[in-house]
Amino acid sequence: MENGKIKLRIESKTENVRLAGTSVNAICHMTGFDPETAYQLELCVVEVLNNCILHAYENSPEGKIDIEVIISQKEMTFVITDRGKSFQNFNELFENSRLDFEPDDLAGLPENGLGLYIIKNIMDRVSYRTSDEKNTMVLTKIRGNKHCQRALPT
Amino acid sequence: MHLEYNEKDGCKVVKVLDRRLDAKGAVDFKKKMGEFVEKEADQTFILDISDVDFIDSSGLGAIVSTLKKIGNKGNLVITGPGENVMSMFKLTRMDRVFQIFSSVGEAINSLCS
Repeated sequence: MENGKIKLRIESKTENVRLAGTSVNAICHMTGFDPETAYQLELCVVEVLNNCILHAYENSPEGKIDIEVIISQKEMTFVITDRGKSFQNFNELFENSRLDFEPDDLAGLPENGLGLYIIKNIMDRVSYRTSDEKNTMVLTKIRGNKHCQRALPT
Repeated sequence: MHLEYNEKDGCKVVKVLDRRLDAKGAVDFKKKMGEFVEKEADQTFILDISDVDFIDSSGLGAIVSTLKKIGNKGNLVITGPGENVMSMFKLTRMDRVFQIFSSVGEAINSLCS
């Protein structure tokens, strides 16, 4: 497997999330991930992109989101950058994200807010920082780790 | 969001025709399913997602929203999830919330016949 980088830039529209997501899935598939893991990595990137559109850019279609895919033999890293509103208290929300419902308690079933939990349980390393008016989320998956063995966010 | 509605053996079957149940389609899915279940109260609904190969938390949330809208008046079961979609249900423990069948036929045999 050769090391490499692929960069994408999308406008902050939901239809572009599909394009970016399917691109990520194809890259993961072509670089040796099994189909289920490729889907899960696509899912994590899509969840981040959805959050960028909804929260960072507040549904404005005029924002730009950069997605950098860093490929190595050992791992795959996604660096996702937006220039919108910063995600307040990310570390705390991320660390505390959990499933908190009973299956037979209909009223208590979550309809949203599952994105961070999903990312936390798929990715092995996750970090978020804001600097120079850019917000950057970094997600890393170690090859061969079927289930998340995540270290604490850096 | 393209949905196909059928009635089979006393069950209402809704098939999702789109391959992706994601943020782009979730709002429309929720609206259409909401209107459908409101019109057809006291029924068992079978949601056939066998053609869906990608679901995100928005899509899953829209399905949960539909289940909540039906409430105690009826039931919503899932049929035909592929491996990827099933992994999402398991990851979020929604496989403990919904009855999941491998096919519409299996669901009908179990619920409606």
